[in-house]
Amino acid sequence: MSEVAPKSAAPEAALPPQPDDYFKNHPGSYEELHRKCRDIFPMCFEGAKLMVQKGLSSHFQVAHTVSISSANTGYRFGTTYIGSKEYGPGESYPVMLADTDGSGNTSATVLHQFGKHYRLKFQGQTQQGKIAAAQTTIERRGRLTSVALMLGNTDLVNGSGIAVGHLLRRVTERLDLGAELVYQYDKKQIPGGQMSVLSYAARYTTPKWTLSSTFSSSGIHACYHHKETDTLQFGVEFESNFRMAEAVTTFAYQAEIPEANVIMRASCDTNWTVGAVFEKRLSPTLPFTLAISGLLNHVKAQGKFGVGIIIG
Amino acid sequence: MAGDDEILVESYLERLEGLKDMFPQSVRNLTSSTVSAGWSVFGFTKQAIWVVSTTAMIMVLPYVIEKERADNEKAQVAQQRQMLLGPQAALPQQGAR
Repeated sequence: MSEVAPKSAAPEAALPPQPDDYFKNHPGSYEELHRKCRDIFPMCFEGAKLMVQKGLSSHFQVAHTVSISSANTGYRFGTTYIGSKEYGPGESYPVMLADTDGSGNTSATVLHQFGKHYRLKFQGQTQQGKIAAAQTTIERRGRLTSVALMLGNTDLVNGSGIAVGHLLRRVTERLDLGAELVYQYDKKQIPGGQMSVLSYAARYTTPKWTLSSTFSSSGIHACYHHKETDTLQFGVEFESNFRMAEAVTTFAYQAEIPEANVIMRASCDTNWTVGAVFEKRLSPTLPFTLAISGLLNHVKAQGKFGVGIIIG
Repeated sequence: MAGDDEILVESYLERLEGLKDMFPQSVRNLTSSTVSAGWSVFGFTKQAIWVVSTTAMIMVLPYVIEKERADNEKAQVAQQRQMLLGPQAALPQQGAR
């Protein structure tokens, strides 16, 4: 540009920050490979559940959950803190999530982004006063690539730990390819002291459907997602485990009725299990949502049903 | 005179069972396998109807009920508008606004 920029107050300061489309073609992280398809599957629950979510400020949110069921009866308290450093539309860092129950068992996650490219995540879980699991993930997001390293349950005293490396790259506009290497080191529990599993991932995206799969020596996991209309989506998932010689195929759909504020998710699979979750917002102005869930196993002829109310 | 043969005393069930001798073995076998096949088809149909209906109750019924309710409400609103504003008002809005 041949214009002479004035040396005093820069005119750019008057413009609002432009949305950065550096990450427009980013494939996302490896863990989110099957996200679109898995979001359709219902999360069936049993018993009664009451959840109250309240935002105490624009950064801080708390959630109280009371659940009464034959599996677990108890109270859980959860908090979410979202920091003020904004890196994109809807993405602010640091993010801290924590969840405790009545006896003090806690699980916590801390996410932070450093600069434009690096993300760090800490996750920990305590059970009865002792740390049950802890993992650290560092991820670098380039323009087209995502590389991550996860170290889990590193126990230097007993010499055990898990390390996972992820790579996911956008190869063409529609095709993403990636790989994952899981390395486990444990002198006591693994014969030989160490083992590793390498798997490859591929995802093909079109505006209407997405096919994603991971292949490894221990199994194939493939997901197909189809968006029929704005309100109707289908998903098919195939999961196989060569070591245990079993495979499951699950079919699911999600249907919404926007006028009635209804979201219905249902699934059925080759283990003769049928499940569905039906959520309805009871009033357009008041924040009450009713959720009913049903799970039926035809082989065992057993059903589990749940009802929940979400406030806020 | 030759002595009468001993009169064979049979119960009613034995007499009925004896009637099957009038059919050849192949007919008897075919009837027997058809009837058992019929019973197993009946049992399979019972199970299939149960599986299909309970699966539909869980996977489809709540959505269909809510869809019917929403459609009824929309139809009622359209009917009310038609009564107030005339028959053209019930049609979906056409043209830019």
